[in-house]
Amino acid sequence: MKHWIFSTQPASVVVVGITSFFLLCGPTESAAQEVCQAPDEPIYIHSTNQPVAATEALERSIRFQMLASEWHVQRGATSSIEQMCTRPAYLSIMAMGPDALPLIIGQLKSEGNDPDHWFVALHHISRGANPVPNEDRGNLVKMSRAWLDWAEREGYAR
Amino acid sequence: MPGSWPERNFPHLNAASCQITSPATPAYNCIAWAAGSNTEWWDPSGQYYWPPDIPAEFTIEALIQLYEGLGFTVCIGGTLEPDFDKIAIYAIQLPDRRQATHAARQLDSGEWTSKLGACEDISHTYAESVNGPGYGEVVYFMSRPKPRA
Repeated sequence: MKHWIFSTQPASVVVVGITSFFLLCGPTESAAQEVCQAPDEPIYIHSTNQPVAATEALERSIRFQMLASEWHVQRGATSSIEQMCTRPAYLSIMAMGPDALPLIIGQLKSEGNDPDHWFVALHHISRGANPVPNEDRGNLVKMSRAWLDWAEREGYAR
Repeated sequence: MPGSWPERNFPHLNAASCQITSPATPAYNCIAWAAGSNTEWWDPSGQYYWPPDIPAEFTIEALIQLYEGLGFTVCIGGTLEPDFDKIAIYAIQLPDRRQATHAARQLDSGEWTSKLGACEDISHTYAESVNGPGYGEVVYFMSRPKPRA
């Protein structure tokens, strides 16, 4: 199976290629071909028949995204935060420990004005940080903002 | 139905019995929605909004107290009474207890509206339309006089 990779920066070609392949397209050959067709005018085109050694950080990122997707399925339609955050995928994310913090913060940032329920994981992994003012509890946009500010202060924001 | 909820948990929801009324969002849940809020997630777990002086637990008793604090009292059934707001509380039977799961609110039409966790909110014909493996069944109806216009 060939993985086509596009980038304007030769040095970043591996990261861009693998990230696109796993995070955007999924592990199918047809999906990989969609990646090939996506860019309008690629400057560099590379291909390889060999798996590329991913960095640990990249593996963590991929694992996090997979677990986040699983969690969305596993949580179903529950309204209980306790039930929602004790699903296996969410527990696995928490078990990633401090390595997951920048990933969760990045995810929260990417969700903008429709943030998801990452706060229990952040509270757990940060060993009890609770930057949300009482009056903002329950308002997810304000809770997200408080945690993003916290991450900025603590050096977890990227 | 094209909703994002797990269909197997809601065997009575179909095109005839329910309609999606807003997109899926994690911004609010059924407990808030039944109380009339679509800007907060109400949960007793500590980081979320939970009314003061209500036991910090997701139980039938705590939900009854919560809605009593908003003027509701337990009533007999979910039949439409034009002068009353009504809500329904749901629970599922576990081996050792009944676990609270959900709350829904009656609309002026007599239909009901539910926010399905972080999924969509829907209108459904009967309070019992969301009964099933996910939410169990209605265990209490509560009502309060509608505010005067």
